[in-house]
Amino acid sequence: MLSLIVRRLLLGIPNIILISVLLFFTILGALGSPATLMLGLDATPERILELERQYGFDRPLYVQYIDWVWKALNGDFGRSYATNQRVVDALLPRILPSVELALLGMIVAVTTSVVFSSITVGRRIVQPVVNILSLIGITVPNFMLGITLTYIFSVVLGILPTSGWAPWSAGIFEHLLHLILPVLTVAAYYFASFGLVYRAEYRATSRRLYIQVARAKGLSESAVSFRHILPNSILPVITQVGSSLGQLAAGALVAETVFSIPGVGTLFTSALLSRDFPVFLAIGMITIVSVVVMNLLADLLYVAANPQIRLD
Amino acid sequence: MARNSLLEVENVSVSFKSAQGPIRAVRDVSFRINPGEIVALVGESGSGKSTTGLATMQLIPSATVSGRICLTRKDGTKADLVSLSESDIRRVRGNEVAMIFQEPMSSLDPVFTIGTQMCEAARVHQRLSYRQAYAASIKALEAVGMPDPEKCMETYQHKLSGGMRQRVMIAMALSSKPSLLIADEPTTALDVTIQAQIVEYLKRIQKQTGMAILFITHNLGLVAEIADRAIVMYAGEIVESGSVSELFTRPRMPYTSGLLKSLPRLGRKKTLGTPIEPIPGSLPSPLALPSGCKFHPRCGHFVAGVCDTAVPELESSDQAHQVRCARWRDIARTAQ
Repeated sequence: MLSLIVRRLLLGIPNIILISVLLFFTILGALGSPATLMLGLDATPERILELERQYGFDRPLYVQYIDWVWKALNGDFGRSYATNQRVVDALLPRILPSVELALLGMIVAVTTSVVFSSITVGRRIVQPVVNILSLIGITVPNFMLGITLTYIFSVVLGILPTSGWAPWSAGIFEHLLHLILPVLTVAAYYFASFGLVYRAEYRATSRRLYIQVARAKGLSESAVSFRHILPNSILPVITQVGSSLGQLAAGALVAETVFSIPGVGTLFTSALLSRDFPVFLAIGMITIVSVVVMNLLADLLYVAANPQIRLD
Repeated sequence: MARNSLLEVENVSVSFKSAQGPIRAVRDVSFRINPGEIVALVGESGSGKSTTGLATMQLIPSATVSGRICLTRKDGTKADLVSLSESDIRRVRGNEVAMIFQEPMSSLDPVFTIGTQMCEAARVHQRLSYRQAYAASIKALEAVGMPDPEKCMETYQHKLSGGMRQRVMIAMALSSKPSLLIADEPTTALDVTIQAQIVEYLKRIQKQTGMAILFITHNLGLVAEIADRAIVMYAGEIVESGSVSELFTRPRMPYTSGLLKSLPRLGRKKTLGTPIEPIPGSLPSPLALPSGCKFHPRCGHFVAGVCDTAVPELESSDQAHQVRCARWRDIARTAQ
């Protein structure tokens, strides 16, 4: 088990390096000289050269890359061109809201999709409802869903806040109240896509002989469904959670923007608009690392869920 | 019948819906099993024998079962399994009628340890603490000759061989002391040496517990080994039934004699002078059943106008010996 974890971690490192190289070179290569971007198109060539020398943009790209990596490893992602704030200082306080939103969204998506697809009591009523909700989750764009939910729950019914973020210090109730709509918005798509994967696997598993054996023991349909079909059908969902969570942890762009949550996603949007590349390089790296780590976690969960994998 | 039978299957038909119309996999099957009796249900794959077994447990949700399957329950009352509600049939499954299946390799849940599954089975119908269920499971595993029961309880199914898994299945099936065990080809997927062991354990346990066994098989050698009585099925119908010694020495239905003749036997050529005679052709499709006797296209005694017109009735040729053949009297006479 331990050697498996170590092996997976070691495998993750070349992954991270490779993607970080790609990220750095495509961003800097595509943007051209950051000095031009910072000074605007009508800047004099002398001024651009001066700035390039000042920031070190005149050096070859690979030197800049190594320099950037070295500083990043020491926790220095440079300064934002837009605000001159240290990137780390701009980023750190935004990580928690994003992670919280991502985790809650995933938990809601996984539990609802799995539970509603496994329910055997009243299946005739539950299943069509689940199908319709899945259709909505997959087809309706996130921003529209967010706005619609706000309209219904905040404007018409007036029971939930329209947007914004209440820190923990404002009280748990207030905090969670502000999270409900963003979490639902994030969860909707994943509820639908996890449900599709899970139901396909569920159907396959329910045809297995050991499921018939479970029925022959005299177990009730819901015991068969939740105790035997569910654990044998959940693996593909775990894999999906791994990759989705990694991306979400680095900011649910749309949901954060719609509900003005001070997360990584909103920082990324504003950095993108002002071409503040030290910021989005840093966010890019966080995304990569969190995707790799989450995939690793998913693999470990996989091993925990299926004893047969434990051998290899 | 003076004796109170344990299971009475009366005019049971099982049909499936299909795109080409309903498939009547089992037609008008009637038989009874007495307490403590071992009855073999014999036939080729596709003859409807497994479907009959599953229908008894009401384990085919996609099928329509008609007729009556009357079980004498442990408390002495009788219940028609076909008309029981889902929650009532659940109290029968595993508790009064248990079942083991053909594929021990896929009969156990890969996610849980053997112990978890055994305790689950033990606790479905009995009020047991986990500890009591654990102790009972260890005992059950010992009864089926599991070498190291404690260790077995902690392992997962993929570490056990097919024979070991089938032992676990038997132990699990016996956990609620059922009065009837339906064994659906329990040894077919196993090596011959393991087959013999499993059959031995089944016989031994049957003697100890006095439960009845419906032994579904295509293997006539096993029938002779284990069963008191045998029922032969062909294309969804019972074609002959009787005591095993009767059927093996005086088969009346040409299909049964065909089955016996296609059985390889050591030294048959020298002593009996008859080599193996396979039955020509194959089982008809349930969607295109022949008219009259379902076996007539493959039968050596076929007479046009007799065998292909009316479906022969299942009639008694002898005390407790039934046969479905329009010409069994003629055939019996010429054989003598």
